[in-house]
Amino acid sequence: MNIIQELMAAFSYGFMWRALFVGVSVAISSSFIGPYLVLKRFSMIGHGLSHVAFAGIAVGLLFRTAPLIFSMVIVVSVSVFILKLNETAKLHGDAAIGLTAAVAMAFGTVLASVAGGFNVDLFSFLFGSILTIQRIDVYLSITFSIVVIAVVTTLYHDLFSMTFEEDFAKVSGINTKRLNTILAVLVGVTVVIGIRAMGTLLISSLIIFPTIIAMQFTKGFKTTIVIAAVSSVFIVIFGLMGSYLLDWPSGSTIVLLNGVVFLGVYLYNRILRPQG
Amino acid sequence: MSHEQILDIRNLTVKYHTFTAVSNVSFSVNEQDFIAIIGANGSGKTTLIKTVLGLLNAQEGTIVTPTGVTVGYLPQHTMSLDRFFPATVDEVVGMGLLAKKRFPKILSKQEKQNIEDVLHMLNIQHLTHKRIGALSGGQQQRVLLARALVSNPDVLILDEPTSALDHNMRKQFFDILSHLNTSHGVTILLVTHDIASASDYINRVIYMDQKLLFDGTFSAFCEDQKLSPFIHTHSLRHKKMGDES
Ligand SMILES: Nc1ncnc2c1ncn2[C@@H]1O[C@H](COP(=O)(O)OP(=O)(O)OP(=O)(O)O)[C@@H](O)[C@H]1O
Ligand SMILES: [Mg+2]
Repeated sequence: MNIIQELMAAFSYGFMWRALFVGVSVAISSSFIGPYLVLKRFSMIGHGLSHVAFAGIAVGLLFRTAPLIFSMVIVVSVSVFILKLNETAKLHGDAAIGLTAAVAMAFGTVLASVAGGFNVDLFSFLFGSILTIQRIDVYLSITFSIVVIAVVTTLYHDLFSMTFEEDFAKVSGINTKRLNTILAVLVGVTVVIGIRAMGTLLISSLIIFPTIIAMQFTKGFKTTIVIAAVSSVFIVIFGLMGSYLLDWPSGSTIVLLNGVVFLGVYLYNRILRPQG
Repeated sequence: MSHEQILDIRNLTVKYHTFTAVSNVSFSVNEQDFIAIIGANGSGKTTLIKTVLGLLNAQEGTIVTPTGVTVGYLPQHTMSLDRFFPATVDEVVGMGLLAKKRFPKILSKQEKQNIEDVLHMLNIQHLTHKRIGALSGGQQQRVLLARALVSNPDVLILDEPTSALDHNMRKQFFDILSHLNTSHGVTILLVTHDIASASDYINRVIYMDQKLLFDGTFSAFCEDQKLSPFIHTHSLRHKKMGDES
């Protein structure tokens, strides 16, 4: 079989393995935080932050320092800032996100044009490219994914209570302010480690899609997270292989595959399954 | 009945920016009190109990509770829950125990039994593995009451818990509250628009409209209302006549 031979060849190169490690760790960590954001109606924060990440990368490239580390510091700070803006100013979450995203994108593109372009392909940062993934990216994503997964697992019950009903969580003695801040930091971290494989413009879909796919057929909260993570891992693996075979941008391929799976699950629920 | 004081509220004033929702309210609650808090829409009932729970800050006044008193809370507007929220009934009820715990948050065998007992008591054990959004409004309210009860709190604070319950369930609901109150010594603060159904069970009525207008027994309240009638006059008179016969 031609395709199998081609894939075998791909895995004989290091870059395919690096892409898989990065992709799988990002798939798991983003589906671990996805349910909280989606259910708190805050799913667009990933989208807003990815624009900020783009600006961060532009700054990093300009100074020729590690763009992802640079980006992470900026994105995490802005993530917390958006949260505070939402808490204190008379500004809805979506408005705060929209404003921040636009300002960051404007800033990033101005930087890019002032610097007269970069010697790195900016396109790969926008839509993801498995060829650009370095060994250091692998270490970074695995380390930070483990941190995200560990924190979410440790705080699982508090996060669940707060997402379900903030007032009840507060009355039960949960420090919801601190918990929201922790969540904002985790989102920032996840967005940045997802940039290499997904691209800044598409990482947010990796946070949203697995959760809504899982929600189509789960009843419980724990099962939603588990199913989201498992399906996201499979989708990312197949997406990365498809990206290699078809020579499509990896982020775009993964998003399209997510869309197809969602549509399939949705139609199955609507048409084939007897009860609603 | 001589019971210890469990809550003392002095000169409480709560404002939203410049708007005063609760003005200079003082009262105290003793152990095993069963108090109905009544008043028209917008009279500040929810604001009052949210302040007592620490969810809102008071501009003036003090709220004193002895240390170690535990509180169960059933918020108003449980109907506005996200219909698509993926959480099963047992996950939601378990939250009543797990949210209060320190790490590691694991349920003991006894606590799992408590959950089952509460579900049985509220007659929702058959819904255990259902998604909460798929239940009817009254069933959801029972689930959230179960969540408030499961940790065996000293004080129960309920904000219009019977608004989505049918006639039978309402009676059952008050019987359960009354049982908790008399047999387990649970103190209950109940915000309600249905004073007629509650009147057989409570020992005190607090009637407010921003200010505290009345605090005393139900029959004293009925006497009081003959002078300046309350909106529920009809049901009250009816009730009163029933009491006298
Ligand atoms: N978040 C808020 N911001 C500003 N004003 C508020 C807010 N919440 C309540 N209010 C106002 O405070 C007053 C008291 O509201 P509250 O919710 O305490 O009334 P309530 O007695 O519980 O009414 P209901 O019987 O309808 O539940 C109302 O006039 C309301 O408009
Ligand atoms: Mg109210």
